[in-house]
Amino acid sequence: MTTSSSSAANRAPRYLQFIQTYGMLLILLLVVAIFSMLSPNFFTTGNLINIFRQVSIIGIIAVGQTLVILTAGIDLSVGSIVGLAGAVSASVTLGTGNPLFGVLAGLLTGAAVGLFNGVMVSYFKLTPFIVTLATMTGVAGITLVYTNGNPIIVSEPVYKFIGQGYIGPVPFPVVLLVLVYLLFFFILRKTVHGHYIYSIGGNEKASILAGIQVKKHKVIVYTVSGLLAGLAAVILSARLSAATPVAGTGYELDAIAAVILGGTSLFGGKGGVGGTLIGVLLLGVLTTGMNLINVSPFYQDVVKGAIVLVAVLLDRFINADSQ
Amino acid sequence: MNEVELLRMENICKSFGPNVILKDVHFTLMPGQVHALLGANGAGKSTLMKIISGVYSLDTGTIRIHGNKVTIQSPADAKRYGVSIIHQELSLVPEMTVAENIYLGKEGSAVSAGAIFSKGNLEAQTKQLLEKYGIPLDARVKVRDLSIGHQQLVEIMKAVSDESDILIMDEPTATLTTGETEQLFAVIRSLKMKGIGIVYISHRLDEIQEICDYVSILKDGRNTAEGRIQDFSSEKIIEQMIGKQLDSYYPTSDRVPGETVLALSNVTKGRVLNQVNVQLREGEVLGLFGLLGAGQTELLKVVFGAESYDEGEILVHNQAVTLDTPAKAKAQGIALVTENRKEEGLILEQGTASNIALASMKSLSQWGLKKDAKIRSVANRYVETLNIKLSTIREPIKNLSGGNQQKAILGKWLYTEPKIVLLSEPTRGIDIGARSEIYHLLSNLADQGRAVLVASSDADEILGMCDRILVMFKGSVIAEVKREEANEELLMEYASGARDKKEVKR
Repeated sequence: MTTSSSSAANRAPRYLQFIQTYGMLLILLLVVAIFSMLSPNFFTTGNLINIFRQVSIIGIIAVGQTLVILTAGIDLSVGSIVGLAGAVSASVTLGTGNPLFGVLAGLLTGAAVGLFNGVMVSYFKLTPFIVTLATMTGVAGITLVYTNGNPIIVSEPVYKFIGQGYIGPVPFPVVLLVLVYLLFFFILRKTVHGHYIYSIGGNEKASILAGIQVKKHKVIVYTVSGLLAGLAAVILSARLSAATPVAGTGYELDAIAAVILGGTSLFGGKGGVGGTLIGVLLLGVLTTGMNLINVSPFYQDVVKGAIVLVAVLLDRFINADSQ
Repeated sequence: MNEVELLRMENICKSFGPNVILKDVHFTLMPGQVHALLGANGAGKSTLMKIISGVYSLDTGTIRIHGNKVTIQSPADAKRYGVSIIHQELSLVPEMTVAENIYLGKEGSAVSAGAIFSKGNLEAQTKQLLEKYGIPLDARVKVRDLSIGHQQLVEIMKAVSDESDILIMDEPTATLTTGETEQLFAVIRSLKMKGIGIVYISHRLDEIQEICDYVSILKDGRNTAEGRIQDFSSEKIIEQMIGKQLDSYYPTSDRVPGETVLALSNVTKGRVLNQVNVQLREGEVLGLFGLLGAGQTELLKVVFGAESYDEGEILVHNQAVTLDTPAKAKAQGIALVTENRKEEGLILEQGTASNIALASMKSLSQWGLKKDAKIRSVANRYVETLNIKLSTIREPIKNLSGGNQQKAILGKWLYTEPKIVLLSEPTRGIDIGARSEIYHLLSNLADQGRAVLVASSDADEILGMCDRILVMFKGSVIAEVKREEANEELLMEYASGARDKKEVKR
């Protein structure tokens, strides 16, 4: 039983609260500072814009992942969706000659897989991990069947603009990234749906008993996750002027890592897209920075793995008092 | 007394920042004593116990155990000095047997033959231990197959086998049936005989009268009264705890019930509910009394659409309705306050404002956008009218006391403007002061013409607040009793099945 006395104890000192809230941001800034010292080419406008462009794809996927994890679920299928949606999007663009149709087809493909996940999780009461593990494998297979294992080349200029274009000095994918984050920051903070996402993740039973249509909202969340993976697929294929069937492999893990780094609880109900953006940037900065100072790619993965572990340990340590 | 005190705490002070939680508190426990530690939530009893058990350190003061001054800085220290807490949430490994649980972590010392772990030895030792305290459990049964009450006994034996002689029991009977409670008391009595001292924390005053020898009462972090239990009536205890006279603990009202708003006709659900008929009228508080597991909880959930039923009919305002989801029940003007606040009522990480708004987001939003200012003002209104004590409406509700959490849940449902309010064990684990407030609140709701249905296994509160009482036994409504005619013995006779089924007035 919690008494008012222990509530006083739970309130951490001010500096700790600050670290709890901004800890990962501080780590990000620290890492940026270190790379700036190690390499003169790091802290330049060109490189910083480059980092944002690099992370835009994982970043957009991670937004959907954040929503799913906030409801105490997980979506392992997003990487495979990137493969399938990219292939569909590219082939429809080629087939119709209309990039708009291609983009829509890509988004719809992602949303359809997400919808399937959501229905399985909500209405058939299957564990999110199992459902999305199955779709992850299944969708990857469908992509290979659909493409016969071959890449699909697109050179349609409007389509390519989505991945390669600029608005002023800003790459178009970065514009999309920023828009997606602003939109979902708003949705989580200000809309009823956002409120329910937190309440479902915080306590699903209580949410059902408050008369909330929990199933419907969970289906929306998985569908949106698929949709955003579809958007990422369009950007990726447009950027490479080609959709390759194995594109997106492993993206789900990067996205999950970013969400966790961003402080969203795997148990649901706590966190948000702001933290996820920081997590995404941290991973992006590490990759780019290590490339600049010529760290072998083999070691890069070791470092990234270690950073995720350390960050989560730190988080556990800092938040230990409040539990 | 000449005996050496097991525990003597003197001049204990503890503050968190500017908040003084304990001020010069003293507490003494004798061998073989069951010592009730009482106080409203926030009075400091949890803090005091957390100091003994090493969760918090004290600011000033001394602790003596067996007459020796000690410093307790961690739960491990406390354990070494023989202090064990039996928590409300048990900490057993469900997949392990009773014996394995009791000796978990001690396999190396007590029960092994050399370096080889001997299962037979372990079970023999456990059997001996269980027999010593008269506990009818098989050492080889897996804990997950035991009832909550039996699991608790295993937890106690685990502490005893650690050679703890100071046991702290925090609300030990909150989740127990009457039979299990009796069994627990039998074990407590045999612990007493062995010279073990027990600190007993509970809100159930009847139990305290039955099992405790001595009582200490805290209020606002200070000792206000103590003495032998014989010298303390329940009324006196409550007065000391809340610091005021008691005549208005339960509400009184001369309201007259109106038309039937909710009627259940032959509702049946498996073996849980059997041909249940209930008529609930506007402007009345109807009590649903029964022991744990008699079906009251399920009945309320069925009405609220949270559980399905096999047969029967539910009528709201004389219209047959299908209530298969809570959303539909809510739309019919029904509210349900569940018995498990944390599991089913609250979003613990969210603020009080969010929790209060949760069931009414439709009216607190436009085009899918939340009206934050309105949510805040609604929350503030309920914080004020329901006297919810908190620091801010954004502070996670997990930090509030049980009573304040429960009031927030009531606020959540009141804002939906329900015509029918269903409550299950509305005051479980809530301190006396908040209890009384909740009784008065429910009475006011009935005075306003709403229909209130309270399911409870606490005969006192059913008798104190209900206009009419239905008694459930094994899934059936077995009797209807008027408030004037009811008394605890009568209710218990029906609820335990000791009296034959009486024709229920339709």
